Amino acid sequence: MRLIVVKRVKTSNLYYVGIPVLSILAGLALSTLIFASIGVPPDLFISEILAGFQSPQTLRYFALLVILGVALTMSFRASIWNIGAEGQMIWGMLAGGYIALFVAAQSMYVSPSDLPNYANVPGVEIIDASPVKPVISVLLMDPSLGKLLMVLFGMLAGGLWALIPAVLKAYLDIDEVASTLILNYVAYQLFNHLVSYNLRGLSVQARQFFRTDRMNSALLFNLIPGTSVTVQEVLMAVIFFVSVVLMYRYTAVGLRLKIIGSNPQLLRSVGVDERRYILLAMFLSGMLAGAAGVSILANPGIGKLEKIANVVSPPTMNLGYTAILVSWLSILDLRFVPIYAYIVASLFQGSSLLQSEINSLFPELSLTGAALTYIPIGSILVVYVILRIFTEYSVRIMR
Amino acid sequence: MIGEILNVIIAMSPIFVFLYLASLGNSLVEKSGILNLAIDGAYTLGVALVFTLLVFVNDPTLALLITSLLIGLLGVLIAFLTTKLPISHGAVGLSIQFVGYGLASFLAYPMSLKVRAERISLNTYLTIPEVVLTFLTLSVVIGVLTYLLIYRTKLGAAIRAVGENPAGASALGINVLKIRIVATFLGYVLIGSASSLYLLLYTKNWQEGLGMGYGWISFAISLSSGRHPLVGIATSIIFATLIRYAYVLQDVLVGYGISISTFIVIALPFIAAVFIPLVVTAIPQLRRRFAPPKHLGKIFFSEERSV
Amino acid sequence: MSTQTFFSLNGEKSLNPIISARGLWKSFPGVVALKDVSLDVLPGEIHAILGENGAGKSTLLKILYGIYVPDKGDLFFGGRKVVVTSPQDAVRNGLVLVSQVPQLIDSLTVAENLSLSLSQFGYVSSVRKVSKFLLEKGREYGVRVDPDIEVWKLSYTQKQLVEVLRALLLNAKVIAFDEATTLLPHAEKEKLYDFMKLFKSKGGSVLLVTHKIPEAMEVSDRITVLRRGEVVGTVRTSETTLDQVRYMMFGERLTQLNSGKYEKLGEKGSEVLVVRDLWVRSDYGVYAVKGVSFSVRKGEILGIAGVAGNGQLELIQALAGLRKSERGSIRLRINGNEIDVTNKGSTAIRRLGIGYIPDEPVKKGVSLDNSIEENIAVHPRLTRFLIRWGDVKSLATDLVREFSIVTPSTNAKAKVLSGGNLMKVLVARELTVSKVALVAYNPTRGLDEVSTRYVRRLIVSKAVSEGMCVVVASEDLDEIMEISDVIAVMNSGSFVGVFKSGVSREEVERVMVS
Ligand SMILES: Nc1ncnc2c1ncn2[C@@H]1O[C@H](COP(=O)(O)OP(=O)(O)O)[C@@H](O)[C@H]1O
Ligand SMILES: [Mg+2]
Repeated sequence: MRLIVVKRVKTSNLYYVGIPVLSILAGLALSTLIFASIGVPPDLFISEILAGFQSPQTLRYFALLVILGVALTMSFRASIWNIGAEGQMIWGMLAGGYIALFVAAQSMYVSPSDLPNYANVPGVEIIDASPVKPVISVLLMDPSLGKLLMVLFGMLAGGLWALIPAVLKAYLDIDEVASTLILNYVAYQLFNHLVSYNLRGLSVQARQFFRTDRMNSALLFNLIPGTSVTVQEVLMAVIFFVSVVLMYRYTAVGLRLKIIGSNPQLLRSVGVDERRYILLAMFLSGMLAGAAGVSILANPGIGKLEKIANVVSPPTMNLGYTAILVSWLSILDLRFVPIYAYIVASLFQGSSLLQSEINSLFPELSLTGAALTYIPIGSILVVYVILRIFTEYSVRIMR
Repeated sequence: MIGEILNVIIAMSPIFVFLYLASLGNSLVEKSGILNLAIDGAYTLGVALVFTLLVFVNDPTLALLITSLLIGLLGVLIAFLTTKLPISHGAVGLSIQFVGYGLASFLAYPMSLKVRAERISLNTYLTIPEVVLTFLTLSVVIGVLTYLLIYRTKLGAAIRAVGENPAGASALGINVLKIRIVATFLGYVLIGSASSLYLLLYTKNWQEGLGMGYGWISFAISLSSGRHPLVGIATSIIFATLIRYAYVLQDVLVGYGISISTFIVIALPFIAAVFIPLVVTAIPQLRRRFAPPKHLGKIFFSEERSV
Repeated sequence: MSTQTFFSLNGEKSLNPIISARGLWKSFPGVVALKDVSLDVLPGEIHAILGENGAGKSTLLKILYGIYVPDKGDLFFGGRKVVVTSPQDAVRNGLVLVSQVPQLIDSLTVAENLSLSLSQFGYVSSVRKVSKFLLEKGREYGVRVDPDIEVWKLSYTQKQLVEVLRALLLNAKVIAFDEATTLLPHAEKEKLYDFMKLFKSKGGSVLLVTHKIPEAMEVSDRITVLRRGEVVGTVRTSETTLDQVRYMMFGERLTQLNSGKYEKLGEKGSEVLVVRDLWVRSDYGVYAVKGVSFSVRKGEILGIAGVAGNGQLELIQALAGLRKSERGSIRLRINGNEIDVTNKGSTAIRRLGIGYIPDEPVKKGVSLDNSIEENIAVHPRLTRFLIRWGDVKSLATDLVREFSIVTPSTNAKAKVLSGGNLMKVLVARELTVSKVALVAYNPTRGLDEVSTRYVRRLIVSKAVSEGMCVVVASEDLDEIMEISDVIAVMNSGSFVGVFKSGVSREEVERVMVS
């Protein structure tokens, strides 16, 4: 008996819908089995995952995953495996944080006796009411402008960080999967360095815990009531999504970004320098990831940067890796990104619900967050990657 | 003087051993044309596996052997998927990496709690000259054998052939799948032993996230050595020095009033991993000599269109 | 006319076929490459398979050799039904394939390459042992190659010799040549023919695949003709005529092929492309082009002939700005301005109105996963920043009509097109943008005969009517002889002979191999 793979004469559209769905189901089934092996009840696993679909918390991940999904799809379509969204988000946070803490507003010590005077001054906020060395934050510009600058600088920083592996790939032929991934580790450590030294805050907690001050709340994004998602991140998701779709549809740049993915040699042979488009794809991708980083920072629930204690739990919440799932399940088709962003956001939320549930119900199981996110993500990806070939190929068994 | 040099060698050997063996494994895998992007997942999983096994069998060598074998089997799976099916190597590698990260935490975290709670003392290798030098010698011998295998035997020719041009190799009568399975199995056994020794000879204990990133450093070492087993010795020494003496450097610099943070020290080997491979590509002669296999990471499908 | 007419020979019972294929079908996106094909190869015969490009010859051989798996149909080797899913299976059954593009691993030595085929050497045995064995055997068969030389250093003919040696070492009962002789000059071809005859006299069989009728007529005992994936018939060579075979190959389209010479201008204009002392390296870092100088006038066609691998490819790529020139210069004179384009990069060169048809056109010149419109719109001379898809569509529609490209629509993905139609999309796009010059490598490779004529005619007429200058390198000497005003022969990186059109074929071939 031999397994023979042959190309389909006609590719099937049914598969385009069926395969991602099947992968999610099979991947989840696989994860259920793995977790059941140490005693996580399958029905608990399933019910928590389903609860993720209705949790108001999910909306926040949804918006972020749309931004990141668009970001990664842009690079993946160009056949550039940008696995560095994590690092690019980190730089978005750092740049956005720098603007928020040092440019658009500034922290300063005041004498304890003066403190009451600042209580009601517009644009001034008391960050730390410590009786010894109180800290206030003074707004230096219009907060809307400040937020805009945060986003722009965050995008720029993310884009520039993404250019490093892009240059290496385009001009020196160094595989970008490895370099983008390694650069994530570098970014985490540089983040720690900057947060612990250069950006470290004045307040007592900041001095104690290697972190920045809290941002001036005027610079925080605005929550949509009843959820944990902000108006600004939803707006960004919509703007990025629409403009990227239009770019692909109507511009030569979009067409070329698409064609480097399917055949870079064609670009070269018609006289287009494909290396520039590799840079562009990565720069754009990194910019959007940077914007996602800023959104995480500026969420009223966060509002500060603190040292990463362990690389498995960075402030990016590993969304840069999770978004790979969104992009692949969408078969690199932008139109599907919002759909899978929602599904993946729900799974993501579901697994954190599951973790807290397990911690309270079965403390002896000691499941880590890393296990609970990476195993389902990895399983779905593995199944998807394998099933994916059946859109174009079929397998025959001979004799 | 000689004593000092010996001390330096002994201090660096454990690091050299786990870096070199994994990079050697990576070279073997990639020589056969498979882009080895699952390496970091396999490495992290290997570290967790050896730790978990150690708690049960309490014999480092046995734990090492079982881990190497299991990681070797993971390699076989990767070779099968990327060769039998027309699948992107990058996609398979990455997906398996994530599963590896997840399983590592899943397996080893409960064990680490158990070790702490029951005050189990782990029976790892002693970092004494005899042991360390034995592993050092062994790894260099394995390196030389790998070199001979790749460049002097028919199997080596076959491995290079399926990496350069699998369609051609197949037309010549080579079973591409079989060769890649052999190469990848051997390669992953080496990666598995390297990750085991990382724990057994170096960290001696496990914590969440242990090993993550070291697969990539080994990947970079292999890349910077043009996937050549003997050149890899030199590159591994460079990285081992960096990891071993970055803290010393930090101290020395403080003496001169320059302070670099511990975070930068941790980041150094990673920064080196991104940039040292450039040395190879920047010099044209090296670039050609060290060129990656022509078909590295490309899908092998015998009905590929050629007209 | 019915295909039955030619089937007279299939009743032959005297010998049991050594290979026999029954009812083979094979489909690819956009084309049925084989339709119910049956074939018998008898012991001790040279059996030619003749058909124009795209007829399905290679598909048939690849199925016999286990590279492709048929959708339907059976294979019998020595009367036994077998499943062949890999070359090892085929070799075990006594069939060895020698391809047009030698299937050897360039970076390995000859001994390493051949060791892969020789099962008597175990996997751990040293390559040195194989070397020694090859030296002995080479002497025995009269094939002299250094076993320790890396294959990329060999010439095209030497590589083929290695492949033949391999077939002999494997004790092949049948050796199949897939267009392996087509590109060789006559003298070299003769050597291979002699070898085939020798092999036959020892009881072996040869499958000789070609799209050139004289070749099939010269050595074969029987000829099977394929047309559009179907067997038209099998005839005994001694009992047939050139006209009959031509008719079998082309059928009713024969009349389209017989329309005479190309119209040429007597007077050429001023020099447009001037190349001086050009040196270019190959991928392996050695010089592939060694100090070539020439100039091409307005409306002139320079044809570069030569056995594959003598630097033509590197020269063409350097002209297109895709390969670095180490020394020398490439200059263009457009409207009285002289522009130095040496190492200026392909973007700059293409902007000046230079069309380019690359080698491996399907791989480099079109993108299979994109639509025909996108494959046209990608060209920087054809679209601005904002793409007007309406304009692209109408251009695409015109080109599809003008070049009779068979496609479901201009919006269809390129991968549903057959090889010939893909090539037409590429040629159509490049001719549209060639305002000053066209640089081409094998511009009609893979095209069927009618399309080949059509494309050649278009190139010539565009040169004549619009003064486009053309540099075309082709492995097919017929093509060069047919369209060139000046023929340059390239050998080991240099122009070893430059001739006016009208030179005799023998003269050109002589310098090709000297
Ligand atoms: N691997 C393939 N994928 C898609 N189409 C193919 C493939 N191989 C051959 N074809 C198509 O099948 C037809 C026959 O090709 P081929 O057998 O190579 O013809 P020949 O050798 O007679 O020139 C052509 O239209 C070609 O484009
Ligand atoms: Mg052919």
